[in-house]
Amino acid sequence: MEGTFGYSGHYFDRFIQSQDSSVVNKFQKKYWKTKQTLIKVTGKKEDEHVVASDADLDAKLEVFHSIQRTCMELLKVIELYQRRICFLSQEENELGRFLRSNGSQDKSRAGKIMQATGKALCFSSQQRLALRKPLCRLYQEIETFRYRAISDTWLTVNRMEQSRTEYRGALLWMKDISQELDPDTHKQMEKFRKVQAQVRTTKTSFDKLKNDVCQKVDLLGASRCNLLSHVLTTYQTTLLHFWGKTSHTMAAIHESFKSCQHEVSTVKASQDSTDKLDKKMEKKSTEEDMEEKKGDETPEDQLISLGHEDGCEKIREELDGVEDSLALLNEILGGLFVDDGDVSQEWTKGFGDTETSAASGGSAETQQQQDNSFFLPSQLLDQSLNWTSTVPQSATCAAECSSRAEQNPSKPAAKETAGTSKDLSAWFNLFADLDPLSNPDAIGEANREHELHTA
Amino acid sequence: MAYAYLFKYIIIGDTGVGKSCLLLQFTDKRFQPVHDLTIGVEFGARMITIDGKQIKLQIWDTAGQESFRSITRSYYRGAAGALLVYDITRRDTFNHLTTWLEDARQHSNSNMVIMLIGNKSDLESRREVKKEEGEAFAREHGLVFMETSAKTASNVEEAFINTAKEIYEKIQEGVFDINNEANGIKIGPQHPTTNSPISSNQGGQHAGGGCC
Ligand SMILES: Nc1nc2c(ncn2[C@@H]2O[C@H](COP(=O)(O)OP(=O)(O)O)[C@@H](O)[C@H]2O)c(=O)[nH]1
Ligand SMILES: [Mg+2]
Repeated sequence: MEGTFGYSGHYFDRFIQSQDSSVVNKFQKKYWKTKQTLIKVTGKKEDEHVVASDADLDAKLEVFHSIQRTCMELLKVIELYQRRICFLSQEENELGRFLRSNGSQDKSRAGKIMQATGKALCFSSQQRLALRKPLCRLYQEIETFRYRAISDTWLTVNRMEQSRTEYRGALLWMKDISQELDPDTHKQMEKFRKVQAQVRTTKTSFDKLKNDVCQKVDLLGASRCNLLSHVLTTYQTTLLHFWGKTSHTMAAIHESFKSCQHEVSTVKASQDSTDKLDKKMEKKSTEEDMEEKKGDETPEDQLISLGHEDGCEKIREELDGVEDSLALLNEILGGLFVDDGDVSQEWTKGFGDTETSAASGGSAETQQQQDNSFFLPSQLLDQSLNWTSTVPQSATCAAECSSRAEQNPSKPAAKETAGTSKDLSAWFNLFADLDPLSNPDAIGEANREHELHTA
Repeated sequence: MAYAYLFKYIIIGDTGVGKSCLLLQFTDKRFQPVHDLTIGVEFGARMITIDGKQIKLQIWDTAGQESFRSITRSYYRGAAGALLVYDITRRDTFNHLTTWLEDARQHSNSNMVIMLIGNKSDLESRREVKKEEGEAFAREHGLVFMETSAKTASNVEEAFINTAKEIYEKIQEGVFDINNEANGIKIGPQHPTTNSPISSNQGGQHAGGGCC
C-alpha cells in the first residue's frame, strides 16, 4: 500500500505528524485516559483480563482498606473503653466513699466493715485508672500510625490508581489501534509505535507503583502487628497488676469476713454472696477458690450474687444508658453465667414481690435502724438509685465488719461480736422480710443455674 | 523484496517462554539473554524459499502478559500460521496451552496452521514437561509439534519453515483462498494472480499451479 505513495508524500506526512504530534499526542492521551476514567466511574465492565492481571494488587488493596478501617474502629473502641473505665472508677469510688462516710457514722462493727470495703473500693477505683495510661499510649500510637504510615501508603495508593487509569487508558488506545494494524503500512506503524511508547511508559510507572503499594501494604500490616503486640504488652501488664492488687485487697477483706461467719451464722448467705460479687467484679479468681465456692455454695448464694450483678448492670445502664456495658459484663462473666438474663428476670420477679413486703412490713425496723443511723437497704428503696444497689452495699457492710475486727485485734473480740450480732440480728430481721431466698421459684431457678455452672 | 507469497505468522504463549527470542533467533540468528518485555506486539520478517518460491514470513510476536490478552486477540485475525509456545522448564506454561488454543481457534480462521513449540530444550536439567507430553498434546489437538531452543538455535529454523511448508501445502490443496487476505496469505506484487479477479479456491490452486 505504501508503494502508492512517493517518498515526498511520506516525508510530507511525517512532517505534518511531527509538527503537531505533541499536541495531537497530548490530546489523544487525555482522550483515552478520560475514557478509562469514565469506564471506571460509571462502573462499566472493564476488560476482564486487565482486571485479572491486577488481582494480586487488588487483594493487597483489600488488606490496606481493612487496616484503615480496623484502625479507625480500634481508635473508637479504645476511646469508648477508656471512658467506660473512667465511669466505672467514678462509680466505684462514689460507692466506696458512700460506704466510708456511712460506715464512719456507725460505731458498730458493721460500720467498720463498711469503711473497710469502702476503702477497698476507692483503692480499686484509683488503681483501675492506671489502665488509662497504656490505653492512651495505644491510642496515640495508632493515631500516629494512621497519620504517618497509613496516610503515606494512602498517597502511594492514590498515585498508583492515577497511574493505573493512565495505563488502562493506554491499553484501550492500543486495543483500538490494533484493530487494523499492518506492519507494512508506514503510517499505521508510526501511530502504533506512538501508542506502544505510551503503553510502555505508563506500564513502567504503574508496575513500579503497583510494587510499591504491595510492599507498603505488607510493611503496614507487619508494623501494625508489631505496634499492637508492643503496646498491648504494656496494657496487659498494667491490667494484671491492677487485678492482682485489687484481688489481693478484696481477698483480705474476704478472709477477715470469714471469721465473722463463725460468729454470726446468719450472715453467711450475704457474706458468701459478697465474696462472690467481689470475685466477679475482679474477674480474677483462682481455681481453688472456685472449687471451694462451688463446694459450699447454696442456691441462695447464687441468687443473691446474681442479684448483685443485676444491680450493677442496672446502675451502669442508668448511668450512660448504653446497653453495651451489659454485654461487656456478660462477656466478662460469660463462662459463669450461661443464662443469667433469664435468672435475673426471675430474680427481679421474686425480689419485686418481696420489695413491697419489705416496704410495708419492715417499716418498724426501718424506723429503728434509721434512728441508729444504721444504713439499711430499705432506705434506698425510695431514692432514685436502683434498689438492687442496696444489696451489695448492705452485704459489704457485713464484710467490712469482719475485716475491721481483724484489723483491730486489740479490741475484745467478744464485745465486738456481741455488738455486731445484736445489730445484725435486727438487720437480718429486715433482711428476712426482704429475703428473696424464700421464693421457691427463684430457688428452683438458682438450682438450675447451679447445675449449669457445675456442668 | 520480491516474494511470491507473504504468510502472516503469530507467536503466542505465556510471557517469558521465549517467543521474542525465537523470533530474534529466526530473523537475526542471534540470542539475546535479556529481552525487553513485549508491549502489545513486535514484528519480524524473513524471506524463505519453499519449492523454489520466495516466501516472506511476516511474524507477529505478541505479548504474553494477561493484561494484553484482549489486545493480542485482534492480532489473530488474518494469520496463516501460529506458533504456540510453552517453556519446557515451566509446567504452568504447558498447563495454559488449552486456554491459548481456545483463544487461537476462536479468533483466527479455522485453516490456520498451529505449531506447538516446547522451547528452552537446552535446559534439559530443569525440564518439567516431558517431550512425550508435548507430543501427546499436539496429537490430541491436531497440531505439529517441535522442541526448540532459541538459545542454541536448535529446531528454530525448522519450526518456522515447517509451518510455512504446511501452509504452502494447504495452498496447493486449495484449502486456503489466497485471494482472501483474511487467510493471512498475500500474493506478491509481481505474481500473476495479483490481477486475477477470481476469488475462490480455484484461484488458490491457480496460484499454486503458477508457482510450479
Ligand atoms: N536457556 C534458554 N533461555 C531462553 C530461551 N528462550 C528464551 N530464553 C530466556 O527466557 C526469557 C524470556 O524470553 P522472551 O523471549 O522475552 O520471552 P517472551 O515473553 O515469550 O517473549 C529471557 O530471559 C530469555 O533469555 C531458550 O531457548 N533457552
Ligand atoms: Mg516477548
